[in-house]
Amino acid sequence: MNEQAAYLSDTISTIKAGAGVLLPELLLAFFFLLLVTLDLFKSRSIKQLLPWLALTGLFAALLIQVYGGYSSGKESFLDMLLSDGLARYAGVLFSAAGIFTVLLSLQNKALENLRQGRGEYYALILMLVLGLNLMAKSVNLLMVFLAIETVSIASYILTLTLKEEKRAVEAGLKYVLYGTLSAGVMLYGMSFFYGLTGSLHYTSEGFALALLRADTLLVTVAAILVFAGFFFKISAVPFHFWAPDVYQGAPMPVVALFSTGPKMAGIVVILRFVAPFTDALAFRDVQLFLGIAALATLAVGNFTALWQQTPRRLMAYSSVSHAGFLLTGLLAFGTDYTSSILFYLTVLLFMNFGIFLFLQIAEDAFKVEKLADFSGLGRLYPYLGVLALLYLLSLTGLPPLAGFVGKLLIFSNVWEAYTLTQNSLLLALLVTGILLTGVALFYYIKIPFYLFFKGNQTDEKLVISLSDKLLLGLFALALLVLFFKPDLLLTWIEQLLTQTL
Amino acid sequence: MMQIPLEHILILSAVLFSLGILAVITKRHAVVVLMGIELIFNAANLNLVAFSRHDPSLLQGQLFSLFVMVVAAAEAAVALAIVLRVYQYFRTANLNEIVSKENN
Repeated sequence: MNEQAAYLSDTISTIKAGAGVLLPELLLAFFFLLLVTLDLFKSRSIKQLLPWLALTGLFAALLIQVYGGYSSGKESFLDMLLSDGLARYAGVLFSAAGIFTVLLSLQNKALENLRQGRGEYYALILMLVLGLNLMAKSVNLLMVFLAIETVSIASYILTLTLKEEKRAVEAGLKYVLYGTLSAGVMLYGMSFFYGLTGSLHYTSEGFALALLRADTLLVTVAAILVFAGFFFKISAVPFHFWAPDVYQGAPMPVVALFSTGPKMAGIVVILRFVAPFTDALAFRDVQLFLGIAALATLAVGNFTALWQQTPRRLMAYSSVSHAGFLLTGLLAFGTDYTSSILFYLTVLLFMNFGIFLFLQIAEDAFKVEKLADFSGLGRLYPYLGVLALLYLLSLTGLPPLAGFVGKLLIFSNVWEAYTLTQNSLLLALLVTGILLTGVALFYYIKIPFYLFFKGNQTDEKLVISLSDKLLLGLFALALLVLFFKPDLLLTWIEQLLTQTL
Repeated sequence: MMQIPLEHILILSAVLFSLGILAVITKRHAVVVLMGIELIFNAANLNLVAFSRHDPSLLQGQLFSLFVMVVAAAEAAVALAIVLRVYQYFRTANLNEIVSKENN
């Protein structure tokens, strides 16, 4: 009996010793509870305060993660969480995504006029960022599952924020059905990994060794099942069907968050998860599956985008194609691909929030529903038009913008891996990726084409608020800076990655 | 006491999983699709508990399945609330009739 008590107190003290790594998450949870509680009060002044409280919480989490020396590089919470440089950098990105989402929401007309559930909306954004942080930190299958579900449930509710709109309700139903289905399939795969290895701690050496000893076919099947859940989060083929409908139905800031936050966290989870599968001989089929999935994602994303008539659906398929580029980068085993992927994710954050802010202004002020509604707006509002052009060129991957650097880094990694291994799949991915970047130009350029080269239908001059203009400029500035000085960010990423490993 | 062999449990869970997928693919009523998804969750739970027998010190599989039940309940609550909303607008929970024209 005494032994058990001693064992228990030992366990509790090790948990307490590692609790410091959860500081950002605890802060987010505290602000989440604060927002939910304060939302109960009827006073108007308190309601006005809620978004600013959410911003405070996110800023605090951001600062802790930028300056915090708390990350240990060792597993804590009984091998559940690992707070290394990767998780810390991802945490910075998630907090930034949360801050941008709140800022966009403050500019959104429909959300400002929301009568019910404004407090819940901001609280759920905090919850989603909390889940993303946990996704990036988890090294245990149980923890990954719980973190992904936290993010998913928050996303389902956020999709239905404007529940008076038919489209939002329809999108919510599709999202929840696809989401739970892929979570279930992922769970079934996880149960096989547990059976094959006897462990849930998937970054441990025992897990990797047990996988090498296990039956290859079973490992492949289990891995494909687990990737179903991850692919859903990053909206990769064949789990991308929810994206167009959700992008069409959800409020614009939420769409911007979906196109960045869960994608970044999903990529970080995949980064950790594929580490045992880098052995090309033992796991050829798993790598083949990932390669084919990346090819299919690139092809479906880019070619379907060509046919889209509404800007929201266009951006949905654009985000699918970006998932394809990220998966391509993940397959460059043997090279130093983590930092290039983190760089690409950072660029994606600024590009997507920029273009979605532009679309939000276009929707709120000019009632733009289809691509053709953009006609002539660029000539009436040159500032908006030029910045939209900048974002779209960056999304395509053309210089002088950061999107070019991101793609260049990923492609050079893939080329390096190809010269190392002579794997023809990598060459196919490289060629497809470069060719499809050309295809991407055709659909991205549609928006500037309507903006500048078509006649305008309206003459009325509307005033765009200064805060909108400032935010738009800020995102574009980040893209330009990251093109001319990518080293600034890359050295910081390298520093974080090497520091704790 | 005689133990049920592991293979039998795995076959049962595979059958449950397949039935769940079949229900999701063939049924058009939103609630029935959700029931199919619950079947998939339960197949995974059964696997976890069965494998947990070979992990006697930690029983991680059994713990995992407890967490799964709680998460599945939370998810079902949100999903059913959404289905209710859908019914208020479309007067049906048939997935084929919910697709609105404007989206395509």
